[in-house]
Amino acid sequence: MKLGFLFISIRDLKSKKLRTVITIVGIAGIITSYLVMMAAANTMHDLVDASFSAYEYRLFVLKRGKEDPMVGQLPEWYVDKIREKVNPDYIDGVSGFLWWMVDNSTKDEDDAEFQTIRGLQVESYKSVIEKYEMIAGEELSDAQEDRNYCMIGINIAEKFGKTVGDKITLQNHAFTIKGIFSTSTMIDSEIWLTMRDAQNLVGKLHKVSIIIVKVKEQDYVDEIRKQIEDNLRGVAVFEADEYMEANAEALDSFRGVIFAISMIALFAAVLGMMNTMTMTLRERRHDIAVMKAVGVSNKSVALIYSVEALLLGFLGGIVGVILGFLMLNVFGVSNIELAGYLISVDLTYQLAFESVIISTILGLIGGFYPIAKISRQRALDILQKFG
Amino acid sequence: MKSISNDLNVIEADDIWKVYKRGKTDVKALRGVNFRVREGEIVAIMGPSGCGKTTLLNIIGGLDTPTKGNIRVNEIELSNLGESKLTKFRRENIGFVFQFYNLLPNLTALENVQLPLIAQGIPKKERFEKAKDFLQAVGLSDRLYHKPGELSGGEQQRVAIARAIAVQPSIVLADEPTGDLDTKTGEEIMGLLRKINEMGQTIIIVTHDDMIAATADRIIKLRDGKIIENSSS
Repeated sequence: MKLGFLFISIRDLKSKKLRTVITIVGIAGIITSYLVMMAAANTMHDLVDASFSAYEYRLFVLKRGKEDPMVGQLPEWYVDKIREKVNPDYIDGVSGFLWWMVDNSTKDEDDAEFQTIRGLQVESYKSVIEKYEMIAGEELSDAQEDRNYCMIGINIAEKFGKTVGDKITLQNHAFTIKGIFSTSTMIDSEIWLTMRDAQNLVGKLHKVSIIIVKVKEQDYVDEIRKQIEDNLRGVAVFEADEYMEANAEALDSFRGVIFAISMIALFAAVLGMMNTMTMTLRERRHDIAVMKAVGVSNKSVALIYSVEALLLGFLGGIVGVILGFLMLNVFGVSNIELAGYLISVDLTYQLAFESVIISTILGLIGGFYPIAKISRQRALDILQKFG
Repeated sequence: MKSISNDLNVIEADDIWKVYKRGKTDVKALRGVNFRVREGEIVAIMGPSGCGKTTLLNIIGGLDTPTKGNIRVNEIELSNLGESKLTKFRRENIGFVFQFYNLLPNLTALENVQLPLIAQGIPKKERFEKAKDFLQAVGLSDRLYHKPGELSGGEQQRVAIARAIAVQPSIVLADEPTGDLDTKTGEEIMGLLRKINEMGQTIIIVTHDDMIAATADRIIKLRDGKIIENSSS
């Protein structure tokens, strides 16, 4: 195998400029879609991880049999019951929340977008949610005075260009923005209202979706869980990571779909590459026969065209990453709305690097069969068949 | 002045048969061919189309193997060699000159001549100098960086000859080397081949042209896959 032949690979690519460019653009398009999809999946995964890691030592109390807070509700008085029945020395706080999705009726009905709202028990919510900071304005702090006010996450503020004092309409009801918060998690795509406003807005009076209990130490978690289960009927109690596991199936199926779509796209890239290399080798078979006749080994012939396939894959990957970067950062496709959450998709260096490697490997895989086939043929057979 | 060795055979062919399958029919391209070629000879192989000339040349050059019989070139028995050993054999022993030149169209004259040198693993600088020298020797010092499409037929055949002798093989096989050229250019090409022969290389030429055959030391005539005449010219 002689590396001195490699200039032939570059010369071949240059001699068929149009085909080279079309192949690179084709691979780049597929790599761009792969990149954006995987970036979205990874960002989603990281956000969910971050959202749940913010709930260390928390117990989630949900309706048994309907453990999705968007589906099942508990009576609001369960919150007081927990405060009353569990050992107060073992907990830092208890608060109930109402999660729901409402449409943003500031737009025409056809264009209505769904937003995730969270009703807060303003007197207690801070005892269980700590990892957020106020970017502007103030927090909701008084259940009565703060009626018709809301706090919005930074993603919502950026998406709608809203700031403190502006109004935001939810299901034809206007709320004044009192503050803007940031958590660097999916919560940044939520709108927070007082519990009463939220219950009225979604028609779930005296109901909460979830009760969060913050336990002082991990050692107390099991005991508190038992006390809650013994005193409240029809509840399911989870630790944050258990709850994440319970929801992992949904997240996995989302990632699975993205992975399957990516694999189909990558398979299409391999077929495209195989087609290009078959065409290239068909045109070059005479050259290949001549090279073999003058003593160039099968391995060297395979190397020349493998490098050609590798270069096409590599360049396709580079262009794909550049296009992906432009899509996400210049053309503003980085904000994807999913299940009411606004996800800001980040293109990481690692993903960009992986995409280029994958593209390069795809080039090699796509070229493998046609290259292996022709490099094994005898020079004379090629010359006799094709002149 | 060239010398022909009286006792050193560079090619020994014994009872060579080549049978091709064409559908259900066996086509006998060569039927028991026997001959010897001595070192430094120019041998012309002649005969009508389809008589087996090119098949015989391909077997001598290790591009093909006989169905039956033995062929020894430079004391190497080729009939049982695998494809990779035949490639190595060609690389080290044979230079090919084809009727239609068979140059790589994307490479310059200099790069085409370097191909067998790269295959032999000769370092970049050395192979560049060698290729340049051989192109100068065939009168193409002003065409080094031209691609085949920019050269005339005669010039392309000169490049092909330079490529064939670049690794200084002991045997040069030429299949109708002047077949696609006008008479004057054909004579120039033959002049070049004779010059190469004078340097000690054995040359086998397949040709239809009596004038070219007349310049050979020996003529082997084939008909229907058999040698019908093997005589000094």
